[in-house]
Formats: sequence, structure tokens, C-alpha cells
Amino acid sequence: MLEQLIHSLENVPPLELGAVSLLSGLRPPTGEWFPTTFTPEAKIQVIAATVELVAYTGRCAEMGRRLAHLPAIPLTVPLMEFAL
Amino acid sequence: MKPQDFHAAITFLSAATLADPFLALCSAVAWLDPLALLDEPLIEPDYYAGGDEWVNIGAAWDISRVCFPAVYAETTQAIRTESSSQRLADQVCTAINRHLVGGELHDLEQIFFGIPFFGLGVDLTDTDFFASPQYTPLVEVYAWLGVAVDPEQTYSLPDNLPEAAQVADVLAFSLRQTGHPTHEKLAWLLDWMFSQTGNTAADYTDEEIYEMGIQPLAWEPNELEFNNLMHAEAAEIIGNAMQGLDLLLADDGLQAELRANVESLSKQMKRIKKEKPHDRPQPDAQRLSRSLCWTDRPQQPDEQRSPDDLEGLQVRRADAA
Repeated sequence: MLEQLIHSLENVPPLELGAVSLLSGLRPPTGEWFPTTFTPEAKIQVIAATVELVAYTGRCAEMGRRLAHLPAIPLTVPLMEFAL
Repeated sequence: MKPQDFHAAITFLSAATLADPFLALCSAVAWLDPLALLDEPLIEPDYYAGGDEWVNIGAAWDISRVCFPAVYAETTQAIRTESSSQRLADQVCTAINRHLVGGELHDLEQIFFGIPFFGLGVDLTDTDFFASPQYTPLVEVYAWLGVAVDPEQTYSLPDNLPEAAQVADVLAFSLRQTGHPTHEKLAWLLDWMFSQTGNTAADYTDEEIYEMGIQPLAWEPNELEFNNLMHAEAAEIIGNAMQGLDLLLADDGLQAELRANVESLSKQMKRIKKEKPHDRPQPDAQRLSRSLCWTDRPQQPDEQRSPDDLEGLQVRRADAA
């Protein structure tokens, strides 16, 4: 079961986020960490990338909340010492 | 360290963060979605700072992230470059207003009071309402239904308004039964005049909403969608009602039919009320409407709406907001 989960996770294709590729393309070589001036076309791309990123961070936060509240799974392995 | 060394170090760090997927993601989040890193809202929704524009901008930024991601994107960038809080607040306010239907924020400060709600109902107690040229003809239509509205002195509701509303309800039911677009629009006019459309925005005025203690909806995507839908539907209902008013005023025959049916219906309902004082007219609408007569009217050139569209509005009437 655990191996199956690991295998499934390993085979999930990496997510290409527009924000990351946009940051690579727009980050100025002058030492500024974030791009701040945009052409009209780049501005549209930045808005689209933000919408995508907000949805992604929202899904991640939701997944984090779900994982934090996973119900206990009873073990089938007999552990007689547990009661002690 | 020489300046060029410092610059080289930054360039190296910049390239390194983008080469590593995790650091690249962190950089992208810090750049485009910095509020994702907060566990609590930047500004608590019940915190109201009056004229502090930066607090208003902070609250709007928070709300935009949830309700208007495109506005959030623009605000995130503008915060880094715009130094005037007033100018930025105006920009954010305008951007949010582009996504609101039926109402708007006059000032970003209003963001703390929930989604703006605008009542579009007929205000029989407001002299200014009937002073508006587009609504002045309603006085005459009310008179045909036995409701005396004095545009100069309308400070209280006419005594016979409930009875007239019952008559209007049966008339609207009967008009819809014909399936004719003109009658359909006249039915919406009667519904709107007597606050019986079933749509809160179309049936109530701002003052009535305030007096009833109805709280504005919270800034949440589902509430926003509901509010926009309700106001869009109200605009459609009132648009139909105003077309119905124009058609009625332009058609002497329709006016005569309306007055004759009002007279006939009023007599019937008075008789029923005497016989069964506790009976409600609504269950009788089907029976009462049988005695009413509406003549088919020629199709108006501006009646672009298809029967299917009217049917859609009719269906929504059943479960309007």
C-alpha cells in the first residue's frame, strides 16, 4: 500500500506554473528581485499567472488542512504491549 | 565588498533561486501571491479604521484575493509602485466595481460594510421617486388599480394597498397565462409596482432593507455570485416592467382591458372577502383569472425576447432571491 502511494506520487507530472516561468523571463538583470514594470502584454500574463498561482496556493493550503486532520488508521499488526 | 561584487552576488543568488524548483516557487509566491503566506487575514473584516486609506487598501487586498483574483493581481503590483494611498485606493475601488452588478462602492471605506446592496423597489412614500420622469406615469397606473398616489405628498402608504396588491397578483397570473410577450411584460410591471416579483432587490427599497435589519452579504465568492445574480435579475425584471409600462401607455385598448379586469376582479374579491373573511386570494388566482379577458396584441417590433427567454425569467420568479 505504501509502495503504491510512493509510486503514484513519483509518477505525478511536475506542474508548470506560469508564475515561475514568467518570473524567470521578466526578472531584470539589474539586481531587482521582482519585476515591477511591464508591457501591456506582460501585464495580462502577470494577472493570468497570479490567478493561477492563487488557485494553486489555495489548493495546497486545503490539502495541508486535510492532511493535518487525517483520521487514525487501525493497524492490523497485533501489538500486545500497546495496552501496557 | 566592491559594488560590482555585491551585484554579482545578487545575480548569482537570483539565478540560483530560479534554478531550484522549490526556491523558484517561493520566489513566485512572494512576487505574485504574498498574502498566501499569512495564516490570518491581513486586516480583520470587523476592523474599521475610517479614513485610514492603507487599512482600507489592506482589507480590499485581502478580499480581492478571495473574490476578485484579477484585482488582487493588479493591487499586488500597484502596492509596490504606487506611493499615493488615495490614488491606489481609488484604483482598487474602481477595479472592484467592475465586478459588481447592480451597485458599487462609492469609496473603498465601504468595503467594511459587506457587498453593497441597492434596492430598486418602488418607493410609494418617496416624493422624489415619482418626480423622476420615467416613473411619473406609474401614478396613473396605480390610480387604475385604485391606489391613489399623490406625487406631492406621499409620506405614508395608501390604506388599500394590500387589497390592490392582491388584485395585481391575480392580474399578473392571468396575463402570464396568455403567453403573449406584451402581457408578460405587463405582468412584470404589476409585480414590480406591488413588490411581488420575488426578487429582493426589485421588491425593496434601500430604506426598507435597512428598516428590516437585513445585513449586507459578506465578501465571499458564493455570496458575491448570488448578489450579482440577484441584481442582474432585478435589472431584467425592471427592464421588462418598464417596457410593459411603455406598451400599456401606448395602447388605449390594453388600458381599457386592464381597467375593466381590475373592476371585475375587485368586485369578485370583495364578494369573496365578505363570504370567507379568512380566505387568501392566492389559491383562488387560477379560478378568479378565468373570468378575465385579454385580447391578443400585435407583436411589437422591439420585442426581441424569445418565448424561451421569458420562460426562463418566469421559472426564476418561482425561486427568486
